[in-house]
Amino acid sequence: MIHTPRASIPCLAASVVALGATLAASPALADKIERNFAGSIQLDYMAVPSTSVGRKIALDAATAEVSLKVTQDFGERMSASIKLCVACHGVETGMAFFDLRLADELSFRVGRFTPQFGAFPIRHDPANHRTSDKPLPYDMGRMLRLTDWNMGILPSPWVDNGVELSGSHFFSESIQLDYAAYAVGGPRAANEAADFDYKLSRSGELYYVDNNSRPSLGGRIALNLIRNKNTITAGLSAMAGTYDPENKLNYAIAGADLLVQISRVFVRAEYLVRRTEMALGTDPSLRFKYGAGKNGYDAYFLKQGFYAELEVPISDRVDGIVRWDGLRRQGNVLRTSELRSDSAVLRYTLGASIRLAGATRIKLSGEAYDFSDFKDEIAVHLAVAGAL
Amino acid sequence: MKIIKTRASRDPSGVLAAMITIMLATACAEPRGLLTGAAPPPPDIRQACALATTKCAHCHPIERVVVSRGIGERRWKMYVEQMRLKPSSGISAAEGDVIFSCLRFVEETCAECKQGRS
Repeated sequence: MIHTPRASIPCLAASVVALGATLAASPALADKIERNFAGSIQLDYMAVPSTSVGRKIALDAATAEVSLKVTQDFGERMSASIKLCVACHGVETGMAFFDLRLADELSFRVGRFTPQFGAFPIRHDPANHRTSDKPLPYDMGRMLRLTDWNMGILPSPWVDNGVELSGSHFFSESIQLDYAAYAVGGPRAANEAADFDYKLSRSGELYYVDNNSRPSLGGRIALNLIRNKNTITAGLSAMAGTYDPENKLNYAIAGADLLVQISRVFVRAEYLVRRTEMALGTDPSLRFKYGAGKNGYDAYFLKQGFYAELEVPISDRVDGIVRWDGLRRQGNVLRTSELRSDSAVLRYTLGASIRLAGATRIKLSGEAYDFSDFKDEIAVHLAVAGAL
Repeated sequence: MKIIKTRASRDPSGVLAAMITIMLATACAEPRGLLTGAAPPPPDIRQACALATTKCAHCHPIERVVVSRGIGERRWKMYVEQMRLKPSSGISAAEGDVIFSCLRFVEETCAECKQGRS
């Protein structure tokens, strides 16, 4: 019998849910149910003073990001979480999953969730990070020239349907090892695509289901070295699969991340790289900007991204942040693209996060964009963000 | 042949030196918030709250915890366990208990700690 991933994923998910439901139905657990609510709001205004009409190159002006999350425990081993978000795309389900924890070293998650990739996504909520927008590798529509660049490497939060196996083990009080492995629907595009089409991942008209019946597989491993108030975390992540309906176009993403926490000071750095296959079409000379090389047309492009940032408390109420991030794309481009076969953007950000009252903060940041293919630009953000 | 024209070649050593200076100057700053309004804590609770502040700030500002004070011990137990199990939380089971001891002390002694008003 051929055992395909297509068959095994729903079976595994069903098994986990059934096991969880059995545990949850136990009379001994009935009186231990707890429910927690959390939420966040961010209203951000982005101005692009270096150009007369910023909308031509960015989704500028005001945006709102709102989320409301409820988590319910079913005893000590099982919980369910639902998170609704409202942002540029309208109402979306950011989370809808069950967690079943058999031990610290073995947990199952099934449903709609953000799979573990890299270090930033766990802080993607605007109430959890200090700038209004995200690092370029994880950009989801707030970068300048987002259409030309098709955003970052893996927009965050990447929300997808699937199953994840994860765990954590402390070898001592100072050494923690995390792992995660998952199967999710993965990125999508139409047939004959040349890159991901992110709209297809958030369009109800095309259904919130896998577009090609083959899951994308991925995982993450991270080592944490902990000493008193200081932590060093180093992680590696990967995800791969096909993204077109015919299962012909492959992609693979890899990432490395490093976090150094010295009390309240944080240094964070990540590097992501994605290799994506493009459909060459029947006549590549009509489709692509550049001609064939020595070995014919190269069907792949490489997109790399990085960020390095420093977050420091300046006073009891003010945190400062300095960030340097960038993207580079290498490979052939469609004739309609304004990018070249080797394009880059670097961004320099200086920002501050000022605590007002409770968990409400004002976020200020200035960003200098240095494009290889376009004129340089400046963006300024002013936001108010808060947690419920 | 196309040339990528960016300012990447600028010497970043000055910025790096400034960053390190700020980092060293602020690394030993006192934690804030969790014990505000609570009774004077014994030393072990003060240390527990310092640990909680450091660990929580790993992923989010400590205010997210401060404004939630008043939700009760059972919910804190749940939150601490949820957060401990987050990837790379750096919170061992023993440290989870220590963090919970801080939050329990706050719940017991901070009469003014109403959720959303802290």
